[in-house]
Amino acid sequence: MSFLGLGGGAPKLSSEQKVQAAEAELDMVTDMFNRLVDTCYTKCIEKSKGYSEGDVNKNEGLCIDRCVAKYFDTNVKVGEHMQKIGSSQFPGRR
Amino acid sequence: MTDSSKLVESQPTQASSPASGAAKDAKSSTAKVESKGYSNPALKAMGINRIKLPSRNWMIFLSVTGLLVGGALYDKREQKKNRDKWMKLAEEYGKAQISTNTTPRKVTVFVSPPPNDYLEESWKLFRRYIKPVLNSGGIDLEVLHSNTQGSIRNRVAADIRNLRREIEKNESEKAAKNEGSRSRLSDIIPGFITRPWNSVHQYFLSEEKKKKMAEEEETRQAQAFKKQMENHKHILGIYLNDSNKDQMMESHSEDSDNNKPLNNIGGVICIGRGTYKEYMLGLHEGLLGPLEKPERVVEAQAADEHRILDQKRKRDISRLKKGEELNEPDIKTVEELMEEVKANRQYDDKKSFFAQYDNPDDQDEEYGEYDFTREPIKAYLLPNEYRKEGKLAEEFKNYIFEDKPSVKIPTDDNVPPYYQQPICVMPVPHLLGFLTIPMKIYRFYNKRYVADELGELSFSVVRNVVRPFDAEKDLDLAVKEEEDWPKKWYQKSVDNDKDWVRDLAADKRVVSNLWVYDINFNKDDL
Repeated sequence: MSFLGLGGGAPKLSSEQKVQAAEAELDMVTDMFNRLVDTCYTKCIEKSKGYSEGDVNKNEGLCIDRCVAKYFDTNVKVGEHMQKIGSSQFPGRR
Repeated sequence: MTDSSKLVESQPTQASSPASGAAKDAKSSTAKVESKGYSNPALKAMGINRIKLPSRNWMIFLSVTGLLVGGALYDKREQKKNRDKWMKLAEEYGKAQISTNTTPRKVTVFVSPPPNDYLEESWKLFRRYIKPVLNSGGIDLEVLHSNTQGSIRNRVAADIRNLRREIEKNESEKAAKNEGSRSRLSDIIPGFITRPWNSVHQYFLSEEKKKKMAEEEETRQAQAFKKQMENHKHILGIYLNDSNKDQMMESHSEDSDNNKPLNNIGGVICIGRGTYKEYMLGLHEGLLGPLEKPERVVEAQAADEHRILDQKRKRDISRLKKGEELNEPDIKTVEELMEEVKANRQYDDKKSFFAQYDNPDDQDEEYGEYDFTREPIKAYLLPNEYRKEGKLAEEFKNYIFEDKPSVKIPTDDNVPPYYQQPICVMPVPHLLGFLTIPMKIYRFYNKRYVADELGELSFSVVRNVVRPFDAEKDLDLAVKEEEDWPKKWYQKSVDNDKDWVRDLAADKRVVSNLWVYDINFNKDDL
């Protein structure tokens, strides 16, 4: 990131790693988002009546609200748990 | 009569006795040849010799079991039918369109367990018959449940008191601000407009001061920009160039609509007669009662605290005897505890039973966890004191009136607090005890009527048509349930001065502002 090679910026390797990590993270977030949209769409819109109307009605709106909230909560909970398991199983790593 | 019949009976037997031997022979031979049941060659060819009814005992067993199981299944099916009927009616309301940034009407549900039983019993009714109807009607729920008598009362009253404190604080702040902004000139000359004087004042400001003010302005703008950057929606996305993007993106509740009449906003559902009683008691206590704990309550609370400490001490002593090392437990007297209770008066209102549900994240920091061994705090105002000592809260003088309809109490989200919302009471039929078993059996096979009743009530919430609270009959909502309450439990509650066994009293100042969901609708019109 240094300007004209001056300033002795961070080593190149680590910045590549950083980009990789960021990409992995972005992949993960995108994946989760896609799944979330997919799940809540099938659950709340497709299963009720599909596209019978252009607008969202109360039931669908409520369903989507709850679905998204629960999905996020569960995701966070599962993530935390997995991290705990991971750190307890391979304590030497990292 | 008996003699003659005996004669008649005895005569044929005597007459037939000589021939009985022959008849027996004939009977046994025919029994061997044509036995009971149905048979034909085709069945025989398939290996089934005879089709016949089971024996008498089997028949009794099967018919009794069949009846019991069949009755239960029939009832179950009818329950479902009744529930579906109300769900279908409610669905029409759920189909109403709603914009994507609006959340539907939210109803507060209070649940508490029936006497001497677990919360699950009331919960079951809610899950089976109430929630499906509300759900298909597109209504959001907030459920508050308690396990001890009095905690709902305490919560409702504490909520009102907290709001009163907040209003008080806001108003005093506002007054202080007004005081501060008033200039000296306007003090001297009444009616002098402050603004021109201010602009003149500005003119005489020194250069330095002007520079400082410019700097301040710059930092303010920088902060505003930073704040805007925090929300990525402001700098990219489909709303970027939309002029009313703030309005479009901001999510708000349907209840916050100012055009909606006050009595059609939100709603309160009390499940069970006891819950309703607690709710009404809490409402009166909060609106008419004092803001600070009266001496009587302080005493009771200190005594309760002392009881807990005493128990702990006894436990500690028994452990000491066993040879475990312990610090000498310090015993506070009731007087000392009373001082302590007085010292954190407001604290208790915030640390109500439900605080842990409200903000599970910061429960430890400020108010601490709720101690389940503790009794809910006693009422600040009892029903027999409403008239004499009760005074409609000063803080609500701009919002709640004695003689005319009340006005929406402003809150952050513009949704009025739940004690301004209409009420629905759901009965919880629940029997306990050995002698009530026949009645329990009868009720078990007639649950469909409960399903119908609760469905109708839930639908009335969805339908959202209200009528004013009528103190004469509405105090007795679901009163029939009290007949089910066990006598021993009732006596115990009376002895311990509990809330469920109190006589309800309605005070006009509170009740004149309440609304109840109307269930008098013509079902054919729907």
